[in-house]
Amino acid sequence: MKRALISLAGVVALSFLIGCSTANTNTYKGVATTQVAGQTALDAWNQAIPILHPSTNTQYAVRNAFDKWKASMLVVCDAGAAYAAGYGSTNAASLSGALEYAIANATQTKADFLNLLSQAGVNISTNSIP
Amino acid sequence: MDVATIISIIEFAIEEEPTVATALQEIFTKSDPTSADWAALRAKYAAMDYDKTVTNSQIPPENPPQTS
Repeated sequence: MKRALISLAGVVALSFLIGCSTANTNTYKGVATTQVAGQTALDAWNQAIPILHPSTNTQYAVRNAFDKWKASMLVVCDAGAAYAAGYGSTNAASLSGALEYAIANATQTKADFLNLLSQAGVNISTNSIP
Repeated sequence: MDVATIISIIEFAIEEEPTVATALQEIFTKSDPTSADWAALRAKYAAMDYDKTVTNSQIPPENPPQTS
């Protein structure tokens, strides 16, 4: 449990840090790292439930937040694929804008998901990052 | 983010959680991703399943398996 939470903190911090870039490669790395962070967050949540005994309402809320975050990340991946395919074309600016818009939405859904976990008692503080 | 910070985080992950570290190393060797890379990443997201991962949950699954 402790190991999972510590790793989660590191991965989440990493995804926030590299998520700031808009370059194709760095954006891809940020989205890929966020996928690892999300899976790690779910694993940590699963381990935390028998310890924290969250209410069923909280569990429903976390699942709903996860579903929204996952859906928003699927949109990001679609936008990323379109951007990669159209890079250098006359439509590149529009595709870049669509990708940035999708990332902005996903950033919010990720924050909602992680905030719920934090409120439920899962420590996702980034303060332990070396 | 500078390279030293990236390396320190990956080294930290290697020590604490090897499976996470492996995933991170694969990510950081990727350069100039194609639409196929994005599609592969999309498949990873699509495969993430709350009910299959959070097995300690007391709430019923969203899509219970069909019994018939």
